[in-house]
Amino acid sequence: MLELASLLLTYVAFAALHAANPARVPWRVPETAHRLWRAALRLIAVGAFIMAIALWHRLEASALGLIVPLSILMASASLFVLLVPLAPRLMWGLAALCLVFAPTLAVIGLRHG
Amino acid sequence: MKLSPRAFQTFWDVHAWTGVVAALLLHIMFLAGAVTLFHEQIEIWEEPLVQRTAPAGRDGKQRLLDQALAGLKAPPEQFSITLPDGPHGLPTLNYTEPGTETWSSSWIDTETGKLVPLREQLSEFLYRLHFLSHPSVPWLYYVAGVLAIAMLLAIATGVLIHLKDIVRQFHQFRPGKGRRVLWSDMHKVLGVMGLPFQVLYAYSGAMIILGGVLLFPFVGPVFGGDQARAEAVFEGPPEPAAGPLGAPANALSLDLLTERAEAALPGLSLRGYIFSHHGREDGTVEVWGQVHRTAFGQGNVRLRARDGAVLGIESPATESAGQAVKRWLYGLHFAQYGGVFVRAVLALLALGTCAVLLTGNWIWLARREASRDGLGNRLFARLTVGTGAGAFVAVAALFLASRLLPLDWAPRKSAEELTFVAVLAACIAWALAARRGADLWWQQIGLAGLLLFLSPLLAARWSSAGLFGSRATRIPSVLGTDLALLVTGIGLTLVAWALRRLARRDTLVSASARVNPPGPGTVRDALDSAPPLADPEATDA
Repeated sequence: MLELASLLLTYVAFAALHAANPARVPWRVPETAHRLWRAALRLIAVGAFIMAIALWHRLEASALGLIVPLSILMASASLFVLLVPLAPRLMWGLAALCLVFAPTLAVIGLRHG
Repeated sequence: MKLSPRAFQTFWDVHAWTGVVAALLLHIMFLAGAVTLFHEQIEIWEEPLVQRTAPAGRDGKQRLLDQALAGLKAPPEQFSITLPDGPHGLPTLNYTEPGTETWSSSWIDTETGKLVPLREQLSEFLYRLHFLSHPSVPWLYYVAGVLAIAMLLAIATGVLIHLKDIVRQFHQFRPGKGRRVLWSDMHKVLGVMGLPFQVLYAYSGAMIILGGVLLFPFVGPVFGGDQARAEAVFEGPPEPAAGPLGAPANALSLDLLTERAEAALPGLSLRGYIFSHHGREDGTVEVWGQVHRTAFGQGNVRLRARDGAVLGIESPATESAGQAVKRWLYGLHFAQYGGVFVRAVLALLALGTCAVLLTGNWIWLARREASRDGLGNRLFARLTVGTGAGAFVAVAALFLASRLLPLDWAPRKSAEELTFVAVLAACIAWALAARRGADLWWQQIGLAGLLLFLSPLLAARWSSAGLFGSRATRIPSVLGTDLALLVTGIGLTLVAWALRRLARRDTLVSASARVNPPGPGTVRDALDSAPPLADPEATDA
C-alpha cells in the first residue's frame, strides 16, 4: 500500500511541476492568478515528492529510500511528458485521481503497516 | 550557461559520433539488461523442475551435501552449493570435474536426491548478453566496458549541449510537429529524465568491468608498486592459496558448521557454501549469505571443516573503503533493492534509454541527409532499424525457442544462442534488403509483439504454474513472467500500430509533396512543420 501511495505521489509531483507553467495546462488560468498558480503548484510538487520519499523511507533504509522514489519519478515523469500530448484528458485525469487516492492509500498503509 | 558556437559544435560532434559508434551495441546491452532485471523470476519460469517449494528449515544441510556428493564420481577439490533465494527453487551445485578447469552446474533434486544438469539458459544468456560475455569471445566483455565509458562521454557532452535550457527539455514533447521533431523531443525528454539512471548504470557498469584494469595505473604512484596491497584495498584480503591435498579426515556436520558460522557472524542470512578440499584434513567451508541491516550487505565465515575453527570473517563491518564502494556499485547496478515493483520501474527506464540511443542515431541521420544523402547514411539507417527493432524480435524469438525446444535435448543451449544470433542477423538482412524502409520499424516491432504473445501459450506445455494453469498450481514468478510477456507483447503491438500510422502519414505527405511542391498551405506544411535542418540551435538546443 505504501509503495503504491509513493508511486502515485511521484506522479502527482511531476504533474504539478508540469502544470506550474499555465501555458502547459489544457484549461485557462486567469492571468492575474499566474504567480499564485505557479507558487501553489510548485509547493504541491515539492510536498508530494517529499511525502513520496518519506513513505518509501519506511520501506527502505539509508540512501535507497531516496534512490527508489527518484527512479519512480524519472519513469513516471517520462511517461507523463510523452503521453500528455497524445491523451491529455487521461493523463490530467489520472493526476487528479492520484491527488485524491495517494493520501488515502498512505493513511491506510501507515495504519496497517 | 551558453557555450560558444565552436565549443557547442565540438561537443555536438563528440556527442553525435560517440553515440553513432556505440549506440547499437549499447541498445542491445540495455535491452538485455531490462529483461535480466527479472533474472530470478525467469529462472523459475524457464525450468519446471525448480517450480516447487524450496526445501525449508535450518536443518538438512548435511543431507543436501550428501545428495550432491552422491551424484559425483569423486568429490571435486573445489565446489559450491547455492541455496534458492525465495519460496521456490532448488539448490544448485557448481563444480569442476577432477582434472579439468571446466565448471559444471547441476540442480540438486531434493526429492529424488539426483543431480540434474542445468539444461536451460535463457535467463543466463540474457544476463551475459547484458555485458557481452561469451566464453568463445572473451574480449567482448572488455568492449562492453569501453562502451560504458563511451556512454558516459556521450552523456557528459549531451548535458553540456543542453545545459542552457535543460529544464525546458523536461517538459517538451511535440508529436504533431513532424517525425524529426518527434524523435528529437523524445531523445531529449527521455535523455534528460533518465539522466541519473543512465549515469548510474554507465558508471557502475564501467567500474564493474574495467575496475580491475584501471587499478594498475594506481599501483605505482599510490601504493608504491605494491600490487598485493592495492588489490587488498580494492578486492579485500587475498584468497588463501590452495595447497596440496591433505590426508583424509572426517568433517563436522554441515548443519553444525552452519550454526558456528551464524554464531560467528550474527545477522547472516544463509545463501550458500563454498567447499575446498572436502573430506581432507585441510578442508574448509565458506558459509556465505546476506548480512541484514546493511545495504547490499554480504558476508562469509570461513571454517576448518574437521573441527569448525573459524579461520576468517568477512562482512561490511570488516571491509575496506574500496570494498564498500564496490558493494554499493554492485548493489545499485544489480538492483538489489525494492523488489519486483522497483525492477519494473528500472526496466522502463532501461527501455527509455534504448529509445534515447536509437532516436539519437535517427537525429544524426536526419542532419546528415540534409547535407548529403549517401549510401553510407542509407546503410546506417537500415542497420539502425535492423538492430534496433531486430533486437526485440531476437529476444522474443529466444523466449519462444526456449518453450519450443525439448527440455532434455542435449544441444538445447547452443540452439538457443543460435536462434538469437540468427534472428538478429535475419532482421538486419531484412532491413538491408527491404524496398520500403519506412515500414520496417512497425513490421519488426509488431513481429516481436506477436512472438511474445505466443511464449506464455507455449509455456503451458511445460508447466501448469503459469497463466494458463489452474489456480491451485500457479506460482507468482511463473504467473508474473507470463503476464509480463503478454503485457510487453501488447505494448509492442501498440507501438507497432502507432509507427504504422506514422509511416502511412509520411507516405501521404510524400505523395502530396510530389503533386503539390512544399509551400504554405500544403499537406506537408501542415503535418511536418519541423524547423529548418541547417539551424542547430533551433532543432537541438
